[in-house]
Parts: sequence; structure tokens; C-alpha cells
Amino acid sequence: MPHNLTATSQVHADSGDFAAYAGAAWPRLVRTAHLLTGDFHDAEDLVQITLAKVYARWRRIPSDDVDFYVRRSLVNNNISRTRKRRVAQLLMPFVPERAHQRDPGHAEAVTQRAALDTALAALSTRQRAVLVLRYWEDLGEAETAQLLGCSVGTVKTHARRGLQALRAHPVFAGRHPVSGARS
Amino acid sequence: MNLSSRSARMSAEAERLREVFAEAAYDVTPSAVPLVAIEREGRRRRRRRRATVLGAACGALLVPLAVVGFRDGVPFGFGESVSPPAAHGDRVTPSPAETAGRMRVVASGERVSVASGTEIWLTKDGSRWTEPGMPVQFHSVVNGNLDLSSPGVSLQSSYWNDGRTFLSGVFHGSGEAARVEVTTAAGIVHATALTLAGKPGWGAWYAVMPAPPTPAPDDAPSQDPRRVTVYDSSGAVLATGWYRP
Repeated sequence: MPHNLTATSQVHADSGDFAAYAGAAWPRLVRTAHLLTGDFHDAEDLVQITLAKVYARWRRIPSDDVDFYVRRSLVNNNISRTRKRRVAQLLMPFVPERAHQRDPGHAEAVTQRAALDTALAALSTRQRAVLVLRYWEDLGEAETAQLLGCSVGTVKTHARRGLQALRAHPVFAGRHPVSGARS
Repeated sequence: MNLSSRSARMSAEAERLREVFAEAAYDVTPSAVPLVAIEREGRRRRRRRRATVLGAACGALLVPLAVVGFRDGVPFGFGESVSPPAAHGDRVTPSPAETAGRMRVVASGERVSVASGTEIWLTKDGSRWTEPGMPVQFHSVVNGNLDLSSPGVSLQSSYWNDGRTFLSGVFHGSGEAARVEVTTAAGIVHATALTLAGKPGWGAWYAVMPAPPTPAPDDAPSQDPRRVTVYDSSGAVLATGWYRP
């Protein structure tokens, strides 16, 4: 059963409702965008652009279709974004040690997330989108296909190949308890 | 491998993937929703779309008229000189007083005045700022959202009632930042960078963009930042953030 982005998604009529919707949907959209992009800044930027586009068409979006519209817009914006990747130039040969010594939990979390980002970065944008929609957003194959504008067979293929690529990665080799509780 | 064991393996794999995604997703702490910026950008997009639709409709109407005009030997003033629209690139010139970019090493908690009622300050755990009528806002550098060991720079826009825009953000990565530049359609705005003593590996930056001339035409390019670049003292780029206008 897919997650509802917000409890207010079923009722909207004007821009006042948009504020309520955006406020409630923002955290989950940022998390989804982070899984799609692998970068916190990019994720917030992607969601901001997506919600601005949604705002521009808010009155035309069917009230019972907002979550689908927003998810599709988010995924499409990510696929089509032409923004150049953040330039990562390391000019100094060392990293300040303090940056790594904040607390063990933080360092471990960053390392774990970096490993996942690396694994997902090896996938194509559509493969990644399929996996995020299927296994984070909990969408079914048919709904994922509808959202991406492709056939169910294509979704299955993307999922199979994506899983195949991830299978060998160390982050999926072990089994650890989920540290975050769903809110 | 029989079907049932294969199915069980795939199911376990899917469950593992759900766990890993959930771990990564809930490890991120989203900041407050920038509703003002979103709605402003949404209104701008809506205006541009309407202008485009109107322009297309006018074009569709005028083309047949122009054809008729040419056929009758009356070129509808097409022969008159038409001045191209003024380049938007030099429309906004940030005033030196507002954009005097520099690097400041500040003490933890030392408040830097940006404008009347707007202050920004750094503490060990991040950057905070206040604006008139708004609660203190906080950009954490220790909540796990940022990988401080790799270069990065964030952007936060706040639109003031007088038309000016307060830009701020956090930069991080190795190297020592010396200056921060914000690139807009109007040109480069030199931001002020703040950092704590002791090379913490991160800092904050801010700039105030002057109000654009009013009324801005609908098809005017957005004056919102397109790029934020952090340089070191030798002019080398430490980090760059790209933003879609």
C-alpha cells in the first residue's frame, strides 16, 4: 500500500491548501529525493523546484490525484534535470580530522549513506527511480509503470536489473536492523 | 534452485532493500519547508506560462494579418526600426555597500548584523539566523545531513518586503575558503563568508541582492541565483552549487 504523502492530499481547493500540503509533504519528498539524487542539497533543490511547478498548476490538479502528480513530477524533474553535477574539487590533500570526529553514530551514518549512494549511483536514473518507488514509496508495479509512463514489463526489467547490480554491493550483503523508525 | 526458494530469496532481498532505503531516508533530517520561496517561484512560472500562451495566441492572430499586409504592400510597420529589448544582464547592479564580499572569522555565537533585524551567527553545531518577524532558523552541520568531508554549498533565499533578497547558506569541504560568489542573470554578487576559528571545515555565507527594477516584465529572466562558488585565497574553486533559475 503506497504511503500517502500527506493527510491533506484529498482536500485542496486554493493556495491556502497548497501551503498545508507542501508543509506536510516536504519531509517525505525530501527523503525520496535524497534517495533519487544521493545528495542532500540536490534533494531539497529538486523538491523545491517540483513544488514550485505544482504550485503553478495547483488549481488544475485533481484533488484526489495530488500525490500521484507530485511523485511523477518529482521523478520526471530528476530524470530531466540538466543541472551540472556539483563540482567536487578537492584542492587540499587532507581532510580536517575534526570533520570526522563529531560522534561515532554520525560518522557511521554518513559512511553507510555514502555506501548506499555509491551503490545507487551505478544504476541508471530510471532503474534507480523504479527501486526507490517500489521499495521506499511502496508503490506497486502497475502504479510505478503509470507514474513513469512505461509498461509494467519495463518496470519489472528495471527492477530486476537494478537488483542485479545492487546484489553484489557490500551494503546489501549484510543484514542489519533498521535504525530509523517510520513516522 | 526451485521456485519456492527462489521466491523466498527475492522476498528477503526486497525486504533488505526496504530496510536499507528506510535507514538512509530517515537518516536525513529535512529542513523547514521554504514555502515563501516555493510560492514565489510558482507564481513566476505561472506568469511566464500565461505570457507564453498569450504570446502564442497573439502570434497565431498576427501571422495571417502580416501575410495579408505584405500581400497588400503594407508591411505593418515591420520595416520600422525595432529596438531589441534591453539586455537583462545589466539591469540589476548590486550596490557595493550590499555586496562587499569578504571572509570573516567569527567567535562562536558572535552575531553578525546583515541588515536591520537580520543577524547571522555560527556555533559549533551550525549556522543560525534571524529575520524580522521570524523565529530563529538553524542549519545544522552535525545532524548527519551533510558530509563535511566532501565539498558542498547550500543556498537559502528569503524575499524581503522591500524587494531585496537575502541569500545565505552553508559551505563545507576541505581547504580554506576566502570568498564566495553568487552568479545570477544580473551578474556576480560577492557574498560575505563566515567561519569559526580553528578551520572547522565548514562556514556560512550571506549576501543581500538589491530589489530588481519594477515592474519586471513577465519574460524577464529570473534574478534568482544560478550558481554559488566558494574560492580559496589563490582563486581556486573549493565548491560549487548549481541551481536552476
